[in-house]
Amino acid sequence: MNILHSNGIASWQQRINNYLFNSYTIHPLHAACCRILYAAYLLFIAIERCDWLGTYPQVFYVPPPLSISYFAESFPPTWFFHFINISIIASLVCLLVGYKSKWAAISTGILILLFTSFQHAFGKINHIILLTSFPFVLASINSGAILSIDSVLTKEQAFKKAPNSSWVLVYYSLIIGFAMFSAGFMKCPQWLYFDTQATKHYIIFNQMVANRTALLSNMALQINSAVFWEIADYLVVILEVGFLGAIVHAKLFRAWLFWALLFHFGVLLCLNIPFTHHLFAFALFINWQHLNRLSANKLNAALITIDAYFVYLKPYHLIPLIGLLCLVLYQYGSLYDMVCTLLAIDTSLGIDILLFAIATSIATLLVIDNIRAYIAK
Amino acid sequence: MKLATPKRIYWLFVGTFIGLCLQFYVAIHISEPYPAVLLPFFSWVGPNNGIYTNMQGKFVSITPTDSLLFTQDDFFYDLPISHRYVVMNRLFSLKSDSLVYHNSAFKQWLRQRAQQLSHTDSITNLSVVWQSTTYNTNELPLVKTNQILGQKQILF
Repeated sequence: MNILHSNGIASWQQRINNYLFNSYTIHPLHAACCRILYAAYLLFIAIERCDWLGTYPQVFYVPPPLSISYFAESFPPTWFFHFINISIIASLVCLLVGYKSKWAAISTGILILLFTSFQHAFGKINHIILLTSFPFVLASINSGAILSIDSVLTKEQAFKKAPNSSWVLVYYSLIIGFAMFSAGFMKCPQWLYFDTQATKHYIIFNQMVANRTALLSNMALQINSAVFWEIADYLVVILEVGFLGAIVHAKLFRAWLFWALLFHFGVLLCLNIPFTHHLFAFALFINWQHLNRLSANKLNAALITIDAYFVYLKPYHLIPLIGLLCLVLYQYGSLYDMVCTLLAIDTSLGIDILLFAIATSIATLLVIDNIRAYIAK
Repeated sequence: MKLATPKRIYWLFVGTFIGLCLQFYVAIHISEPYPAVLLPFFSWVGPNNGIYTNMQGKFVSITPTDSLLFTQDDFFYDLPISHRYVVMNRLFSLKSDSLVYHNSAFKQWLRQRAQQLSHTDSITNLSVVWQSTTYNTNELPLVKTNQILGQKQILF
C-alpha cells in the first residue's frame, strides 16, 4: 500500500515536472522574432505621446488602488512625461535591435506600466495586461540570444545557451488563461439566458448608437436567427471560461489560442474593437519547429542570413535612430501615423485588420497541417 | 535540474494563482486595482425590446457675441477615446458635485481649453448641456428621439 502510495506521488510529481518543464520549447529564433515584432509594433505603430498628461489638473486625478500613480497626489509635471516619452523610445529601440535585451525588455515593461498607471488615473482602466506583461516574459526567455547586437558583442552561441523557458510559458499561459476567464466569468449567467442575445446587442449598440461602424457589422446584423446569436453568446462564454482549464495541456491551449484569435478577429470586424496586442502573447505559443517545417526550413535559414548582418550594427548607431523616432513622435505620433498623414489616408483600423489577417492565415495553415498529419496517422 | 529551482517555481505558481483570485475578488467587490490580470468584462446584455438610450453631454462656450458647441471628443481631444465618457460623467454630469467648479486650477484649465477651441480670449462662461437620445432599432429607418435633460454652468 505504501509503495503504491509513494509511487502515486512520484508519478504526480513527474507529471507536474513534465508539465512545467517540458510542455513548451522556445527556439532562440522564435524568442527573437517575438522580441522584434513586439518592439516594432510599439515603436512604429502603437506608440503615443504621454506629455499631455502633465497638463491636466488634480481634479481629474482618481488613480486606481495599488497602482504606482496611487502614491502621487496629482499628475506629475510635463517634463516627467517627456522623460518617459524619450525613455520608452530608447528602450524599444534597444529591444528591437537586441542591445542589452534583458534590461531593455525590463525597462520597457516598467516604463509602459508607469505611463499607463497615470493614463488610467482618470477613473478608467483599459485592460492591456497582455501588452504590459509581455516585455517581462521576453526578459525571462533569453530573447536576445540571436538576431541581436548582444549576440555579436558576447560572441556566444545562442543555441548552446538557451535555458529551459518552458515553465515561463506555462506561467504566462496561466496569466492569459486567468485574464480570459475573468471576462467569461463576469458574463455568467446573463449571457447564457435564452432571451438575451448579448453579442447582437453589442453590434447594434456599436453601429447605431456609438457610431463605431465596423467592416462586417452590417452583414452580421442581416442574420435574424435568435438561435445563431444565442450560439454565439454561448461560444464566447465557453471560450473565455474554458481558457483557464485549457492551460493544463499545451496542445489544448494552442487550440484555445487559435479559437481566441478567430474570436478577436471577429470582434475587430464586427465591433471595431482591436485587441491587436494580444497577437504577441499568442505568438509566443506557436510551435516554431512546426512553422519552420511548414516553410521547408526556409524560415530558419532566412533568419540566420539576416542575423549575419547584425555584425555591422554598432550600439552608437542607435543614437540617431532614437533621435529620429523622437522627432517623429513629437511631430506626428508614430511612424505609421506619419505615413498616413503625409499620404493623407484615413486608415484608422486598416493596420489592425492586416495584422490579424496575417496572424490568422499563419495559424490556420498550422492547424490544417496538424489535422492533415493527424488523419495521415 | 536543481531540486531547489522546481520547488521555488511550484511556490511561484501557487502564490500567483492565489494572488490572481484575490485581485479578482478585490476588482469585483471593492475597486479594480492596476495592474490587474483582467480583461474587459463586457457583461452588459442589452435591452430586450430593441430600444437603446444614450446620454451625452456637450460643452457650450459662451462669449459676449457668440456661442460655440463642442462634443466631449472635441473638448477632451487628447484623452484616449475610452476615457472621455468616464471623465464627462464623473465631473460634468447633472448629478456630479458642482463644488468642484470652485477649484481655481480646474476653472483655469477649463477656460484655457475653451479659449483654445474657440480661438478667442473673451469667454464668459461654459455650459454643459445633457441630452438623452433614444434609438428604436425595431423600426427601419432607425427612429431617434432627443430630449434635453438639463445643464450645468461654470462662470469664469
